[in-house]
Amino acid sequence: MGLKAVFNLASKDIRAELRTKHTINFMLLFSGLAVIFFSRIAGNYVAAAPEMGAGLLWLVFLFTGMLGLGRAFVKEKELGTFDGLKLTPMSSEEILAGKAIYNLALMLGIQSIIFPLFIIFFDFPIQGSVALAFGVLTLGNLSFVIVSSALSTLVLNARARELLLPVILLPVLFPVIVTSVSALNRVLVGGEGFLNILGEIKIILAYAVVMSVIAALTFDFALEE
Amino acid sequence: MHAIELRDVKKRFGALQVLRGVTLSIEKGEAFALLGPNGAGKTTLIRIVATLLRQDEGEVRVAGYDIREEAREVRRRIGVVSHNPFLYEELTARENLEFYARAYGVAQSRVDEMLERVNLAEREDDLVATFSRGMKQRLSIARALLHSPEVLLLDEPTTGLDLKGRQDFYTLLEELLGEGATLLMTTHHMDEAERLCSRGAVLHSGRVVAQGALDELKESVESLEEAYLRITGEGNGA
Repeated sequence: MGLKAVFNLASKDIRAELRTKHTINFMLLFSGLAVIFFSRIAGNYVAAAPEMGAGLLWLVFLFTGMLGLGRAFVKEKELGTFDGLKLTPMSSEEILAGKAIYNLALMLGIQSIIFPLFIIFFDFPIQGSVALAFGVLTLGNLSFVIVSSALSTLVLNARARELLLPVILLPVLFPVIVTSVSALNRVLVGGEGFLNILGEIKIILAYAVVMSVIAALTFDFALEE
Repeated sequence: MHAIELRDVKKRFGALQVLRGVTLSIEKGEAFALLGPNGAGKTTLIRIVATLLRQDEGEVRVAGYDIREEAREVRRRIGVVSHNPFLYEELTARENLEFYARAYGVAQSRVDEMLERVNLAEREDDLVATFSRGMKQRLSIARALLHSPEVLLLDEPTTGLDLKGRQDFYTLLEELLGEGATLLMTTHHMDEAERLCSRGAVLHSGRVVAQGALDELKESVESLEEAYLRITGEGNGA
């Protein structure tokens, strides 16, 4: 796999997104509103049982990701540029990796704004390292974008693709979200360090690797009409 | 070795048999027209040759490479221009070509060369969204020619172009033909086929119903248009 080709595709998408801000604006608006809603509805419960916080935070990322991550391929399909992309000598793995990097950039942008916003709006009593919690979220989001990027191509030719994608995504993402929520809780609420959550980190990393391999193996099939 | 060779190519979409055993060969440096009514299978055939679709049966070779086994090699050797220009509207003309140049591993100097060639150097920093249909199509040719392909596949490339746009497009294609490019094009415009191509085939219901030199196809009739209507049976009801 050529890294040049991967970053060429990712930087093209990031440049186009920074120019139009079509996807990122909606994702930010949605996630910001979700944090405010959740804090008004469940703020008192989270204050009484802080373990709920990590789950709610992940729900915000999950819904936001479902809203925007599929767009990376859908936009190419709608504009008719997907064929142009497939006509280049880029391998399917390079196309998938380029799109996943673009999606990760989107999610990291959202995470950088929403995570502090979440802490502020919930007045969250952080016991552990914020940097470690951010790292755990990033790993979780890495797995999320790998799976969502790969699955969004599977539903690309379906009529109700926007409805189909979340239905397929949720069960596949279940293990990584549960593990990420557990690790996040141990850091944010339990005040535990890196070595204590190494088990969860290994699971999330293994999940990301396994999903990358599966995505690479099935992506050729997904690209075919 | 033929530039493009198709042997008994069949393609089905669900219950619909779109191609029913198409056999064609196109020589290097030849301009070949693929004619036929809507739904004849022309676009499906071009998409198969372009590696965008897989045939169900049969063999397709481009520049000697099998499109199923050596798709990446084929992609390095073809340029595709269709009614869809495959351009990113939120990027400038230059950014579009730079992206494709990097994807093909072509030197960035080639971008300047192509922008000059299609007369878009002065608009290189403008967003493609601000371009007219004709300008987009010229930029699309620049995109398709960036990597100096051996074979150019054109799928109704002048759809939506005005008269001036079409004339500019023909001039550019004639220059390319003069340089020895191989061209396979689908078109509804008989004048387009006559102007640019020496040989052609008429596709009807997924079958080649006539093929040969365009002069031969219209031998017994006044025009290629008349020959086309006679061959496809579309003139009977008139």
